[in-house]
Formats: sequence, C-alpha cells, structure tokens
Amino acid sequence: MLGFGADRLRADMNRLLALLFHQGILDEQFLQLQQLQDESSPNFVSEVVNIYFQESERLLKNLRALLIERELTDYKKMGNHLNQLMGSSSSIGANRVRNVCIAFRANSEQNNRAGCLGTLEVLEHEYCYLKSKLHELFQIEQQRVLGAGVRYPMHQN
Amino acid sequence: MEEKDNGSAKISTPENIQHDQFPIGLKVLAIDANIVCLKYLVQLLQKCQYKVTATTETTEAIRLLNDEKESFDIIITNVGRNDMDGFKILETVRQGIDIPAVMVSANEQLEMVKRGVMEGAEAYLLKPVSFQELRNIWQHVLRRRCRKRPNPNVMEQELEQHKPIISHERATVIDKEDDAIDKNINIDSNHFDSCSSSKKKPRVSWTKELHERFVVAYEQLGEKERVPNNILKLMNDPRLSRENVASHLQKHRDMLRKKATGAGKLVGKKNCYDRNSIKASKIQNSMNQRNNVSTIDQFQFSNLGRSSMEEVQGSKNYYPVPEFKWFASNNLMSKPCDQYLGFGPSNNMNSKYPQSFGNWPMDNMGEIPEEAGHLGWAFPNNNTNAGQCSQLQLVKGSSHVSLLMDDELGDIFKQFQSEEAF
Repeated sequence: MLGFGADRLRADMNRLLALLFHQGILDEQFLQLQQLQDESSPNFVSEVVNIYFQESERLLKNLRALLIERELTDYKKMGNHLNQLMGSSSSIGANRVRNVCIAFRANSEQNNRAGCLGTLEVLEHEYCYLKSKLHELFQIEQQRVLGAGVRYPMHQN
Repeated sequence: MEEKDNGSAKISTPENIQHDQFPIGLKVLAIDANIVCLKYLVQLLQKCQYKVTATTETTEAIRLLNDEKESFDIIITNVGRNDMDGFKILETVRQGIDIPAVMVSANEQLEMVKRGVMEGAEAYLLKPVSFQELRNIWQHVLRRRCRKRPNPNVMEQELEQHKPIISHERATVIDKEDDAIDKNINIDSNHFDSCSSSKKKPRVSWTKELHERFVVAYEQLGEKERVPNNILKLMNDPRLSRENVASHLQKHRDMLRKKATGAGKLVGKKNCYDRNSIKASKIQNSMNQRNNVSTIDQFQFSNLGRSSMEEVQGSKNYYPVPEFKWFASNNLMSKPCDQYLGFGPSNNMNSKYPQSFGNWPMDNMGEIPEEAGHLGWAFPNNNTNAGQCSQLQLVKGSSHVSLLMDDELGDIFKQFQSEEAF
C-alpha cells in the first residue's frame, strides 16, 4: 500500500505527458530535456523551463507593447522578439507556442497589424495553457520526489 | 602538464590530446544570445563531458577567443535571422584563431547555410540541436589537428624511436606550395605546438602592424621564395613560429585570390563587419532587455502587467566568465541545490500572481483565465500545498534517472540511455 502512491503519481504524470503530446502542446524535444536530467543536474528540466517562462513573459510583454504603439509599429523588432521566442520554444519542445509564433511572424512580415494583434492573443493564450500544464507536471513530479525521500528496501520501482 | 622538448622520447601531452581520453574534456566555447537555447546547449555539452564556457554576448566571446589565457578546441555559435553576430565570430576565427567553428541556427534557409559553410563553419546544425549531432563535433577538432600534422599515433611512435625528428611526411598539407621546399630539415617540435590549443603558448594575434610587416616580407620575396621559413626569417619576430606564419600565409593567399577574382558575394558581405553594424547590433542587444537570470530565485515570476515601459529596457545579459563557469564544472557530484529537489512552496505571498509551482492546486487544471490576453494570472494563490503531499510521503521512489517513465516507456528509453553511456 505504501508503494501505491508512487505508482499512481507516475501514472498520473505519464498520462498528463501523453495528453500533452497528443494535443501537440509538447513534442519530443521535451523528452530530450528529460533525458538530460540526471544525478549531476537533477533539476535541469525545471531550471530550463523556469528560464523559459521568464524570457517568454518578457518577450510577450514587449510584443504587446510594440503592438499597442499606434504611431509606428516596429515590425522588425517584433520579428526579433518572435525569433527569440521561437528559438526558446523549440528548444524546450513547446510545439504549439512555436507554431503560433510562426503564424505571428508571417503577419508581422506583412505588416499586418490586425493580424498581429489576433495572433498575439492566441499566443498569449497558448502560453498560459502551456504554463499551467507544465506547472501541473512539475507538481506531480515534486510530490513524487518528496515521496521518494523515504526509502523502503522492498519496493524496487 | 608540460610538454617536453623534442629531446626526450616520452611526451606527456595535455589532457585533451591524450588519445585515450579524447574527446572527453574538449574545451568548447558556446555562444547563443537566447539564454534558453544556451542553457540547453550547455547541458548537452556537459553530457558529452566537455568543458564548456558559455556566453550570450558576442563581444565577450571574441574577447575570450583573443584572450591568451583561454584556449578552446571548438566554438559553437548561434546565428539568427537578423542577428549576424555568429558570422562575426566566424570571421574572428578565420583571421587567426585556427579552431573549428560550428554554427547553430533556427534558420534553415539554404542561403544562410551556404553562407555559413563558405565562411568557414565546419558544420551548420539546425535548432533544436540533438544530442546525436553534438556528440560528433569532436570529429571536426580531430580532423583539423590531423591536417596540420600526420597521424598522431604514428608521430608518437617515431618519437620514441628517434631522438631528434629529422623529417616527417605531412599527410594532408595545407601549404602545398611550401612542401617541396620545406620537406628536408625540420627539427620541428613545433608541430605539436601548432595544434595543441591547450598548450600555454602566447597566442599570436595578427595585429595590423604585424600583418603589415608580414606583407612587407611577403612582397620582398619572389614567388618561389614565399615560404613560411623565409618570411619568418625576414620578419624576425620571436613571438612567431613557423606555423603561425604558414597559416597566415595561407589566409593571405586566399584573400589575394579572392580579390583577384573579385568574388562579389563574399567581399560584399565582409562589409557587414564594419564598425557601424557592430554598433547597431549592440544597441539592439541592449534594447532587447536582457534580464539577469538569477539561479536562486527561479520561482519568482516577474510581476506581470505592473511594470511600466521603462522596465522593458533592461541591461545586457552579460555573464562575466568566472560566474558563468558554474556551468563549466565537469564533476559529476551533485551541485549544491539552492532550490531543493524540484521546487518549493511559494516564497512571496504578497503578489496576487502565483509565485511557485508548489502552490498549484490540482483542481485548477485547465482553467484559462479570461484576461489571458493581458497576462493576468487569475490562478489563486493558496498556500495549501501541504495537504496534497502529506499522505503520499512514505514511499520509496525510483531513481532519478528514469524520470516520468512508465514501465513500457521506460524500456524504450533505458535502451537509449545505455547506448549513451560512456
């Protein structure tokens, strides 16, 4: 009965991951991240994802600020921000966010302000969703890790 | 480790020339303006057991390259669509620092790739870089070393047999024109120097003045006599070795050839690297607002929506080298974790925005706040994370290695992992 919790948590996590993959929120790159995590860097995934969140929020803020500017929308700067966001999203496997960035970039290259505003909304939405899902994932992981603090010799999971 | 001179039979080579160790400990300089990508890259490289120095700033990278105290075996640099800093690095490498450079980019346009290769990149990898690709970059290092001197194994044998080295064949020759003349006498312990980028020899940087003296010497000599040894004698500079002159001669010849044929593209592109565009990209960088990423307070999200426009302009993301060498540590002991395993309970209760993962109530999944458009996080910040965990404490967990693996998935990945084992 004691080992039951860990199994359940792991199942929860896998189910969530499977769902995220299925929805296209995450792709295989995320698995690569997980594989890079080991004893010498046990928090690698959460570290990278945290940095990603910080950077993304900064970029999203900048994008919105650029678009609100009615006078002279700086599409080039927007493009730079988008490239950054795309690059970091693809590095952690944030598939849907990256795809929205691609659409956004197409709009900005055509200097289509209305289109940009629309895609920005979608981008923010996708980002929020990703963030909440990753939080969920990390919380399950945290519980699992905390639970692993006490070891019983019989349960070799 | 010291290198003995050619008198002795045994050569103790610096760590990354030891053939049983190589490529472990390969010294890599990694450059990417995007901190997330850089962090990922660094992790990959550390997984390969390379010694990594990383920076987001091109200027810092160039400084490191030119710094005599640092030496690298290979450079990996990012190049972006609008960010031509990567090509700047390539140029620096071309001009004197003779190490292989690998480009990484999210941009897969053929033109960019072509340009990268033409400007001297050993390889052009697309983001996100895979572990498999990165594992092989040592080959570029080895290939370059073997070009400069013959098969190192053969070399060592010869040295053990003969005391002075009288002559040596060059397997593939950079300076083909010189070969005929230079083949005879070369008590050349320098050939180890030339490729050992980790040997503590002051790096020669070809300043304008030095280059001018080179050109003077070059022009003094007739066509047939323009060999490194002669130029070296004419220049009479104690800092220079024959190899320095040889590689510089090669580059000079290439440059002259290009001038002669008026290669439009490359010459035109060289103008990118003039002062003005360097300035422009600097401005762009600072306006891109690089936040300093603190490793300790990682769970503090920026207060969204509160900061004014002013905060958008930030300082450059400048990682002075000593700090960043935190990444470069190669030991496998677990790093001191300021944040404990995973992530912890909320640190800052004041903000109405969620501050950590720990406070994430399970029942909140899937709720997208209406004000997502304005980045308003409506997720409540409740402190009751304890309740969720306490029942599940007393469980033996599995090892950290297989994270998030179900049994079936675990088998697949176990195979992958065992393949990776060094």
